[in-house]
Amino acid sequence: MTDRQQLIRKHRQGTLTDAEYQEYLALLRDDPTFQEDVELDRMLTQVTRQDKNRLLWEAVQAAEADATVRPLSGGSRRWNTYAMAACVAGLLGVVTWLLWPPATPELVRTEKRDVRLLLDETTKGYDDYGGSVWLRWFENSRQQEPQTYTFCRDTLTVYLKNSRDTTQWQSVQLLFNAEQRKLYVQPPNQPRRLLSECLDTPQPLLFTP
Amino acid sequence: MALFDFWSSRRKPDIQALVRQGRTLTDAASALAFARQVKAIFDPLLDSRLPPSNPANGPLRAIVIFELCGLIQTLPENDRYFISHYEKVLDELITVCRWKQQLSKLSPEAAAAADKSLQLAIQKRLTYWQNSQKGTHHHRIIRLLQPDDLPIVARRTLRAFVAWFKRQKSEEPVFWLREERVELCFPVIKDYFFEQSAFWVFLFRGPNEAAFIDEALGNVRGWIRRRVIDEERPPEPELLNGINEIVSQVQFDFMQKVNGFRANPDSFYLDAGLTTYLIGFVKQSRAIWKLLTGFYKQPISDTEPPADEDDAVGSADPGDLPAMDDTADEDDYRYAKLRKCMAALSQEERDIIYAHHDDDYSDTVPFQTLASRLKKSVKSLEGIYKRSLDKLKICARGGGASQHQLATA
Repeated sequence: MTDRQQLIRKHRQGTLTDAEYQEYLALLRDDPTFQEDVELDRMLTQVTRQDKNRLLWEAVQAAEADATVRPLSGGSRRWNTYAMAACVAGLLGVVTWLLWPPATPELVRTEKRDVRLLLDETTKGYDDYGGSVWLRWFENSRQQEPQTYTFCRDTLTVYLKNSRDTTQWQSVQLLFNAEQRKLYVQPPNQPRRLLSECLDTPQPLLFTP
Repeated sequence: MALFDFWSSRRKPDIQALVRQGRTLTDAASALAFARQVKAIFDPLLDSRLPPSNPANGPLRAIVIFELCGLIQTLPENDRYFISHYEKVLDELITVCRWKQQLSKLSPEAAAAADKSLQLAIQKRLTYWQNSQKGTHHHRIIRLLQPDDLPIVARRTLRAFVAWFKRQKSEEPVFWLREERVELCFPVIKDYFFEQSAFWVFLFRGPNEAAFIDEALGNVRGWIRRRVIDEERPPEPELLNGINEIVSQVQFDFMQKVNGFRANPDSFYLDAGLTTYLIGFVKQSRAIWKLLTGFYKQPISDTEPPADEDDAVGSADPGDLPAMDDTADEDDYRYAKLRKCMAALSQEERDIIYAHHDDDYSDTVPFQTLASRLKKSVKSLEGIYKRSLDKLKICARGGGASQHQLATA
């Protein structure tokens, strides 16, 4: 590989040193063939990437279409029994769903949130990084409480009656007491609340973020 | 026991095998098999998160599956996190796919504000570059940023990405998994990441660090040359002087505007690459029409020259991005032409070019790696690659590709 191609490759990777970058800029300014090489390299990378992505997109579309209309073949007849059973189970499920709230909560949002370390319980001072937890919001329009939660291991799951309430969570702080291994949530201008760990049923969150 | 085995295998999908499969996609058949496998494994998980009974979930589910395919393909060789935490990664991916789905309806500013986690990931990457001891130009520039600058540069980078994404016409997976988080693929935002950092440093931390402007001007010069220089005969000195004058004028005008940006940085967002921005100025300028009349190989635009009487290059208001769609269309035209030229290469030449540039968003595949895969020596591969580039250059300069043109290159 020539030095010029090396320069182009390193530029694409963002690994040119200051001296190499100056050399690159001088060639770009003074040598039209170098400019042509740079442009061709950029276009080849783009074309390769676009073609590969198009292949993948078409494959996903085809797989989606497969899943929507898949004809029944002779060999799949034995599955008809299972399908019938699934239909009956499905019907039962629908009846259950209608008569027995709550419905399956629907995932609204997930993010990994940094936690501040609660350094001093008495002074309420905290100024250090204390790791991170997964925060997941589900919407469950059938629940009675506006907000409930479960917290287990590294995941805090919040069930919201109204999914729009996720935006209010942007200003809620997560605090960790390293000595007691306890996690707290603290909305702005409100006292912090201790979260119970690994309970079977979602617990009400006694604040409005 | 057979029944037990059946349920066991259904409950524990072989994610490791899926990751291996994602690394060996070579054609439409293997891509389809991979997409089907991803769907088979993740559809049941999606059903509990995005129930198919809700018709609104359909398009989002397709985006999630597409992004999952891209994410799995771009996993680093040594990644174990996805294999053990694929459900959590899926949850995070659904969130950012929801964001991606809304992008076409949102302004760059609103879109950048709508997802703090992606902005935070860019900010962390800036911190990572600041803490690295590497001696590259970009590392040095990023180290000049102050702590307060990082969220600003991250937000501007995200805005520039959103503006680019809104102009895209093809589907592209944009997320990958790094450091146990789903974030924007770095190679997709890389150019904006470097340029927004350099721009902010130039504005507020190091007024002499203007190399990124020189790079953009070099590209602008190349853009003008492609339009006005006839490859068949050497350019006349007057034409070369004209090109240099235009580039100098663009530089002067941009520098003038920069002073305004310094006074009020929130009045200006570079929601595009600087090269695209400056080419927009050139296209709007009446000066270029005056300077180059009589030298055109082809007109710069099919429309009439700009009607404004102002000869200054870049007469658009600061913050306005002129003629972006034209630039995207022009790129599409040139890509189509390049594809035609590539179609006229031999299968071997095409395979080597594709293999070398098929970087999985990480890096060009080195010839040393390709040598064992394609069972050829490094020298031989480099030779074929260089000859192919020469053929493509000749073909791309001309009106089209023919076997004769390529054979004689």
